[in-house]
Amino acid sequence: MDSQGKAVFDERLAAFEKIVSEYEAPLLRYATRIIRQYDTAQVVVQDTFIRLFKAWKDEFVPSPQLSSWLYCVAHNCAVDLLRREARRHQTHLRHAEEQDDMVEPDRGAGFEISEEAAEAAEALTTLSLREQQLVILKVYENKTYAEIAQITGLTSGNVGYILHHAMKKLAVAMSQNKGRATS
Amino acid sequence: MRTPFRIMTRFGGKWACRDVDERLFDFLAGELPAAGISRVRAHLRTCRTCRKTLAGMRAVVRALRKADAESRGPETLSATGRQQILAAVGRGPKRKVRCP
Repeated sequence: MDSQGKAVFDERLAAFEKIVSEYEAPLLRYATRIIRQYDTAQVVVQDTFIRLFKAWKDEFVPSPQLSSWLYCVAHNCAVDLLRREARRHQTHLRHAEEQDDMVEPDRGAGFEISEEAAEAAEALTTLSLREQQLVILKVYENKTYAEIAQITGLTSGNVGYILHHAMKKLAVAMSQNKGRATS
Repeated sequence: MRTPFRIMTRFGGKWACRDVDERLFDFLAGELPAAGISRVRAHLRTCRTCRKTLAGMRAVVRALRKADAESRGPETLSATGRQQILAAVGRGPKRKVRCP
């Protein structure tokens, strides 16, 4: 690389590092909520930033488009990881059945929470990944339907429709849990 | 699929339970246009079922936020993570190759 090329690269890298500092916290929160494991969330976010540097052709300036792109890539990385994990877990379960030994999957440390909150978090995992993604983006990240539509590629109307049904499912699951607890 | 909002509000008048029910989360999330908000509010004043559904959704949002607040993880990348990013994009320490 000649000196001019190096200067351009250094400038791009400095802007990229600013983007990393700006978006690492929200992306780590998002990936952790999807994966429910801190260490794996770190890997997802690392991978997302590496893809950003390699794929992003425009300037590294914070913008709604860049934010949506990052959430979208982080989500895809997280889903890929979850699918791989699920396949590994299936293999593990088959193996455990053969040995008549069931082992709880390790979700990582730090997820000890109060009972009501734990019920809600547990109910969330019963939803499809798409539903979980929308609930997380709306309830935790406070994104608008338009922003969620941009991240997911759905229409705003579809976002509202899926969210509505997901929230109703969660409400039913939680009231059933409460009913069981009081009976 | 649900009825598009513009069709629901085209003829004015009150919304039935079914119309309100499918817009309740939009209402809670602040995503309902003004014309819808007034209709939902008017309906909620008289409908116990929809009030109950809305209360259920509110409880879910509260519990999910509580769960999230209680299980917050690190909000910065680890030093190793940052190094790995920089190494992957062409800056930072490359892994040393040991000669035999």
